[in-house]
Amino acid sequence: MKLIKNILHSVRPWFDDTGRLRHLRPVYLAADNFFFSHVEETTCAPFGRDPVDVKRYMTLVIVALMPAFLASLYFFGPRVLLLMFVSYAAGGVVEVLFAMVRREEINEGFLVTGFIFPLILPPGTPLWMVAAGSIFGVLVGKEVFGGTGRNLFNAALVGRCFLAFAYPGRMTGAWLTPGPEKWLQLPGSLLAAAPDAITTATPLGLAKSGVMTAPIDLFLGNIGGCVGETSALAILIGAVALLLTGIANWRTIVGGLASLTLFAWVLNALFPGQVAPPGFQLLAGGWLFGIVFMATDPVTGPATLPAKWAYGILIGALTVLIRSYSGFVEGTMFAILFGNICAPLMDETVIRLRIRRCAAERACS
Amino acid sequence: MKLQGGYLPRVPGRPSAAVRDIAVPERLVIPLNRHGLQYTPAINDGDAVSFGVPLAWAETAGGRVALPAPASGVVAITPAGKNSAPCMTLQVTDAQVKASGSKHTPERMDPQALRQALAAGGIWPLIRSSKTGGMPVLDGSETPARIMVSFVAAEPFRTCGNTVLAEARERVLAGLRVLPRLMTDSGILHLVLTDPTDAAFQAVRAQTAGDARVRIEQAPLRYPVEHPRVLCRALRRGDRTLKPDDVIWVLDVQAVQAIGACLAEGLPLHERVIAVGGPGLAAPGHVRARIGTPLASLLPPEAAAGNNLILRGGLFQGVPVEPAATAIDAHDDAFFVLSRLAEREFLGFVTPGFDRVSFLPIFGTALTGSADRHLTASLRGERRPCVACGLCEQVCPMALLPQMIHRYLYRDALDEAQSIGLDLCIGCGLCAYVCPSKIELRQQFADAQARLREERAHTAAAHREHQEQLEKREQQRKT
Repeated sequence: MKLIKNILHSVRPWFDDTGRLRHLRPVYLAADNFFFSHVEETTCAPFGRDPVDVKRYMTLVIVALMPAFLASLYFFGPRVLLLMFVSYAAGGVVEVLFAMVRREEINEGFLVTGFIFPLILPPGTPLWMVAAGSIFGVLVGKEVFGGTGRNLFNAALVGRCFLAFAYPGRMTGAWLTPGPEKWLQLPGSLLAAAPDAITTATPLGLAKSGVMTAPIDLFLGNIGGCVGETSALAILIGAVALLLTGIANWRTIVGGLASLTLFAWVLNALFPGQVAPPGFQLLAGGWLFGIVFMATDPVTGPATLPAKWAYGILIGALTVLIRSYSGFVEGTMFAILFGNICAPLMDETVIRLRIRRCAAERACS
Repeated sequence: MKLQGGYLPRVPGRPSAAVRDIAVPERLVIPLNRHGLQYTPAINDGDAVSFGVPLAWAETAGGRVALPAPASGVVAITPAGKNSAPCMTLQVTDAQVKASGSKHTPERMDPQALRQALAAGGIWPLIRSSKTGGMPVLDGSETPARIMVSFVAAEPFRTCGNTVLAEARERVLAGLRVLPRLMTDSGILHLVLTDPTDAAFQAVRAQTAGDARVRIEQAPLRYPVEHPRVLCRALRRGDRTLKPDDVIWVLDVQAVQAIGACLAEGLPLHERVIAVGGPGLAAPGHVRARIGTPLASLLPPEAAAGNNLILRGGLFQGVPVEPAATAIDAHDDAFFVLSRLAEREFLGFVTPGFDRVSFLPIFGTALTGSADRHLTASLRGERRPCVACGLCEQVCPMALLPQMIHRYLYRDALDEAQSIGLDLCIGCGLCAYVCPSKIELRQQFADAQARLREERAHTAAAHREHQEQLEKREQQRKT
């Protein structure tokens, strides 16, 4: 700890206004504030503050993602680490470039985006595609709108969407069979994306051709799918962590789960051939991961609490409809992106209702 | 009584219940402009005054309010300087408290006489009216339909009603007997407290038992339940028989005690019970001090040292003051001491946090229930853009949308911000307190409210001028 402090202290002059690396100052600040908490005096009331800060907030999201991450390491081997590294590196370059040009600090939101992005990709995705998707996601999904806090769309989903449309063939062929034996195949399994890797189909893909995967496999995760979304158990542990700490808003999750269950149940009763039953819909595909970790992203969802219900309900309904009535196998990604578009409208509705209530309250204050 | 939002963090430095008397110092300092009232001296520089004599009067719409001498002595008047307000210094010759006004039988006084007595005793400014937003009008044109006495003072660490009640029970009871005479005939006196079964409240319950004009309300112990606007709002929401133009007065227990002392014993307002607390103090406690006592007399010497921030008020609404330049005034009931020092922790964001308390249960103290030992006058984080986490909305006691008001103000859309309730903000500071992005919401809203008032005043003035010009032209046309 003292060593790090000394290093940071000694390199500080390079990043000052006249130092030779002054343009890289955001990187220095990010490292400095990562290792040692930032201290600043309050200048206006309230002079004491709550200790919650954005770093802690994002850290807890990553802690909640840990079970899913560890499950993915178990099922898909050390390649996941490589995907994670490439995602952080590529997205990080964009993030740093924008921070340098804008002369702002690097925001913590990227740590979560970079972590989530590989978890929503098929494990066999070629590394150059991971880099391309990460760059696109951070650039078009976030930085173009103004950076963290101002983006309209979930940056990781924008990257995923880009890859799905730009390289559809390669994405569908990148599903790998799960199994811990990949750790024994080091280092070969690291770069496995070659045609001789064992590929498999996902439960949703199988369902389209009428083959239903066993629920226990769906729950534990011994199935094909995106890196982080296969194990419902791991995601649920993370969900409980997020809900207990209050980091994720329960309204989005409950609204989404309820709406998906209701829609799937009703439509399955009416059209059993086209729509899978609610139990399957809940556990299969990226639904659970999406509703717990992506729909609850505070920046891209509605800002007002009542609107979060509508947001969750919309996403649940759309997921069922897209899965059942479109050419796509998985609907969660598009449902969430569509929800992102509608979120400001939902907020606006809540605001209109509040305006009326405020006028009534002024009359009798 | 229901409160929406609100939050009370576990903060160390709670003052002990016993009230210590502070000896009356040699010099008392009394500012002449405070809390919106401007006092003009009623005596000359160098005059000797005895206890209770009005030092100055403030002219208001309905009458005048006195500033009584808190002790006998010789007065020196310092006129307004470049950076300072006018104030009086009293060189104390005799600190004894003697009944100055005639003792009244409050039960026989009519409301007008009661109001005059309270105004002469300097107590009238302690009452807050929902109609004016400050002191009620003195001429009796506003008679309240309800009076609320708040025994709660949730903000860390204001003097709460039970402490005052324990110290001056008879005066509080006398004050409570008088209040119904100031209301309308169908008026109701509401006593707001967190625990009506508390033993300290026994005497009040005994006196008011069976009185149909007195109601006891239970309020949750969450800041800012004691704020007058929050209390009025909770009362209106809970009682739909209240009409929009009914007036509600709010007082705290110190004001009631002062009323009792004034009317039953003939004593003007001369002292305050103040809670001096906070993590920066080794021995936080309550003190009783004469109005005008310099702040330095209340604080232990090490507290006034450079590394401490001393707030006049509580944790949330307190403003920093210099002990050397500050004296107790009639509205004080809390001083909060915070250390300025904060260390840079190694990997602070992953700490299990058994020494800090947050609104969200994200630290170890959520399991242990201990207090926030890490609280200092520090931002505790870095400034970031709004991430729409919604914590401010959860905590707002007026059920506003602070995140949306912030977004509007960020774009300078003052009218839109006003439409969703900027003017309803009471400035409690909870939104800024819980914000993870450390946005100065309270300051931003206060600045915007000031700009709105300025614009309104400007528009009103322009409108008046325009009307006068039109009338002048009309006159000219006629002649």
